[in-house]
Amino acid sequence: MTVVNYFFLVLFASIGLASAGEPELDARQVVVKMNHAMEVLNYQGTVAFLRNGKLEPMKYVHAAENGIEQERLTSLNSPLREIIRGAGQVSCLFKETQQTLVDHRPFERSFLVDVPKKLDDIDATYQLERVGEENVAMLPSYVIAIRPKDNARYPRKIWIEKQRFLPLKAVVYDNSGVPLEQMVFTEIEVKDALPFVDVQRLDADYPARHIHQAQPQSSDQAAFVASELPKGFKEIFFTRKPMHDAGQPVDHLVLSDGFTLVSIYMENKTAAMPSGLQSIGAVNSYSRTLDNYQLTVMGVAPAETVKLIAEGIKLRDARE
Amino acid sequence: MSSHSRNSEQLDENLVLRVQQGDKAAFDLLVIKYQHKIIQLVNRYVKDPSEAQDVAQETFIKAYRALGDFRGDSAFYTWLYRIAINTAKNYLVSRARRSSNYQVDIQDAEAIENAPQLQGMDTPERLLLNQEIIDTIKTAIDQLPEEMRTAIMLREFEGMSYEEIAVAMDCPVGTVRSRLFRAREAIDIKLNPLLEHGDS
Amino acid sequence: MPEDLNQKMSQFLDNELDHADALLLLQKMQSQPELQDKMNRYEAVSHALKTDVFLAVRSDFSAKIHQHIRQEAFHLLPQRKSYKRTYKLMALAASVAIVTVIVDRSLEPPFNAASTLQVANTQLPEPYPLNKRINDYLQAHNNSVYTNGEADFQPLGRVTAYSDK
Repeated sequence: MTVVNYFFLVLFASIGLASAGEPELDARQVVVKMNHAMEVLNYQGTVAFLRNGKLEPMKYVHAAENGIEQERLTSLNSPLREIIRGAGQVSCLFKETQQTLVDHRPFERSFLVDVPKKLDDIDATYQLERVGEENVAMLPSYVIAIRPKDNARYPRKIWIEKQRFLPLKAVVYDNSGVPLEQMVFTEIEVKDALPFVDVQRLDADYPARHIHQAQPQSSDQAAFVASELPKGFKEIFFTRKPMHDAGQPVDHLVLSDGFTLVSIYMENKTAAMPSGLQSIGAVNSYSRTLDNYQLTVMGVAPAETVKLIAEGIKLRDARE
Repeated sequence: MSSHSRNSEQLDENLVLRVQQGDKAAFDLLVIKYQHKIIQLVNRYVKDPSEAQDVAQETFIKAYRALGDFRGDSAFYTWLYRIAINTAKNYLVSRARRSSNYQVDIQDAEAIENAPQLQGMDTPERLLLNQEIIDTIKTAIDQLPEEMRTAIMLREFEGMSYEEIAVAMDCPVGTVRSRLFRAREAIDIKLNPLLEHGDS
Repeated sequence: MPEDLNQKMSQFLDNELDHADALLLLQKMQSQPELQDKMNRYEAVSHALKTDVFLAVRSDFSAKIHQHIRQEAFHLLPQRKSYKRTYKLMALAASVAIVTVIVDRSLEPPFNAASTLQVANTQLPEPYPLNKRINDYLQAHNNSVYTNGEADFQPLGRVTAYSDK
């Protein structure tokens, strides 16, 4: 064997070894890395939310330190507002009126995309698949398809950047493949550190109104039971709190299958509430009366799903 | 197109807000108010009264769907007219695609607003009926008492307001109002039988 | 047909009817198709005088739109305190770049591409308006109210508790 041939043999062999040392990541692995990256990295950029035909571009910051995270969104269009999520609440400062709204939302983790930490929980209902690679914001990304195993929930895709595994784009589709909601970064960068906003100070500087402040409770306290749930939906949050006006308690139960959030509301019946199916953009809702109560089930889910859940609701006292 | 008074814009604002708060019936009122104007506008592009009505219906449906996005940057009628023009242009494009012999350039669509509008009235019956209607209207105007004829000409051809007509004719505004109404009634009395018997 | 009603229609055609009377007239036209037909004839004559084209409106024109709108979703926007005519977008250059990237035909459908289903028993707003009730539910349901540009819901965010200061 000549020296040149020997050289190429060694070269190719070393390339082969190097390739063998970097196995291809499957969809699940990519998503696990994404969940981790979203929590621990400091990153910022410009993100656009496309929902109900409206495009809303915003500046985005995710700060993380010692297990504490904070998300910040700053609107680029009116109404000018800064929105900060951290510690189970979302603070929204309206810059034009200098008012702050504090919304207590302990069951959400991110404005960008909520993917379950335990992917085993969704095995029965979703299939994760790597379906290609594309550039988003000029960054090469894995395209991960999240395909439901039935028609009770919508399919999704997430584009996850290949280097740092941050989500750059996410789309929810309806069952005919039409996009319903989208999130996409047009530019993003990772930093060593990013500052946190002192939310207590924000609350002190601007008059704050708090909403949804009731503490989470056991769903045993709910006046109803959801007896017909599509596969994979579990209760993740329940509270009874005043809504609409101060004297109107409303039971609010949140269900999730890992990706799809569905809310059930029950309150005393009034003459105003219509019954039946209604769509508000990507959100389907179904309302009906049950004895002296009005029920509404809503979520970014097929109409048949919200209807099924609503029709399966029974009063706790009457339940066998 | 005559200028929209503050009254008209205020009415539009009121109705738009009501629609945006869930009152679909308020949108019906906007349709009633603007249906003829939108059909007129669309017909300038599509040049066919029947197709113009189909496109105009599509315009209103699109407007309803988009009303959630309407923030009052412009007057409602301006916004509605933009939707009508875009819908008409899109219709022309799709019509051109369906017919290989029908060449249309979208830039031309904008330039031909004042072109003869009878292109779509392609049946002899429709042409004849249209001519008969126009003749009836003109005859009815010729037969009006002079003060009524003057008032309607100043209003329709000169676009003068009631105040301006009152000054021009040296009479009270109430008289202008009455003369215009009676002129229109006189025309309508002569026209209506023709429409009832003709091809609508 | 009462003469004063016809006179009001003539004034309405000329934008010379005040807001309250115009609203009443439109409501009457909504419930009396013959009034609508007459109004359309007045408009058609006005148009014909200028263009030599008489455009008759089909008698079911507005009814067909009404039928179609019945199938559409309700608009459920928060009540606005003022109807802003001078509303300015304060987009940075980045948002323009975003629009050129995002607004691509392959990315999105029209607003109501999702199927809409007819609501039974529609009613006019009651003391606590229906749309506000649904909006309260939406706001509690997920955080998209903050990222969809309709977050000007201050009248809607009815105070359920004041922060202790």
